[in-house]
Amino acid sequence: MSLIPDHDTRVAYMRAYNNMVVDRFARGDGTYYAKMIGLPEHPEETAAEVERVGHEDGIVGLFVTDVGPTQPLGHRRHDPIFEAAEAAELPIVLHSTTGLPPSFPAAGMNPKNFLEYHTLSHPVAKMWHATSIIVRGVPERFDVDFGFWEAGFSWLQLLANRMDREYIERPNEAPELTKLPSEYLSEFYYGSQPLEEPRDPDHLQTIIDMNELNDQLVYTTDYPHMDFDAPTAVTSHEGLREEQKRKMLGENAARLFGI
Amino acid sequence: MGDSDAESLERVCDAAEVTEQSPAVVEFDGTKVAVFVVDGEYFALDAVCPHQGGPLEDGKVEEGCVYCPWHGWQFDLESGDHVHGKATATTYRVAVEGEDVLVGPST
Repeated sequence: MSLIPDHDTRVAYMRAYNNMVVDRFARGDGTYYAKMIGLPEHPEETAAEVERVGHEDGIVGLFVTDVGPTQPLGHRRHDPIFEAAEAAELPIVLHSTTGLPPSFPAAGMNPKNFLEYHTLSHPVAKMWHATSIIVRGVPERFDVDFGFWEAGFSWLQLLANRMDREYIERPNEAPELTKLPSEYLSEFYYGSQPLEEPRDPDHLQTIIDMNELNDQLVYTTDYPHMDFDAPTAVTSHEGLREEQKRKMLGENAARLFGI
Repeated sequence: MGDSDAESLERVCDAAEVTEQSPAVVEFDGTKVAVFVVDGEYFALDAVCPHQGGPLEDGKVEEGCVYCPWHGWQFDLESGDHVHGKATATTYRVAVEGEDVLVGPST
């Protein structure tokens, strides 16, 4: 949808998509829940769309693509989206669409092949958005939950360590923050897929514990893409505690989406 | 992985049911087992990929390995070992006697 060159057409597709989701998928009877879609490139139209659709039965989140926007999500131009999501009590879930040059991070990457591109595109886009959301104080100005889907969560470790050090050295550049950047990262939610498989499986739980993510990880599938995760990715993972698996497979999502 | 000691083996299917294009999935000792034939040599290993449970019988077979169609995990047909040691698919003894394919526990 983000690739549609004509802006009016793009917004019309957004509305049509949401109509379809409400008409055919989202339910108010506790069976099927869905996220509506928004377009960060069109903040005012997306905010209006949240007001139009966000209260429909079974709509539990706002989905935005994180590969494609020309500005990182923390940019002030996106404030109307955050304001609308807060009013509708919808979490914002960043879920990638792959390969949308000339936007970041596709622009200039010049990958040799899909292996190179796909390794970097998802987590780099996540880091770009999460950094801006935190540094520009979005969590201090809006009561909105954020979810980051489709990059696993190990990328968080690098960002937490690095951003804390940067912040401590120059806190005046992020004056709205009331705690360390890593503490905000520990309050975001993360989709599990593609669940990382360290050489020592126990290290995955270590990353979770180090970053206090026990209550923040949500099992996601990305089905039917080729790198989907079946439930067995979680249930048979040798490194995860049973309590962790239970939380990932339902409890954390129920809290995030208010189900 | 042929075996001449057929007494401890159990018949699982007709040999005609196993082709290079279409491996057979049989049940042995309560487990789904995939039987492959490559250049006349038979191999048997767990049909359920130890990674996430994909159907190994549907995987591409190349240079002595089967590639799970779900995520491409590569297992040696003879040892069941993943190419980088991430997991091991259990292997079984397999033999053909006449029209019968026989499978038994790995030794």
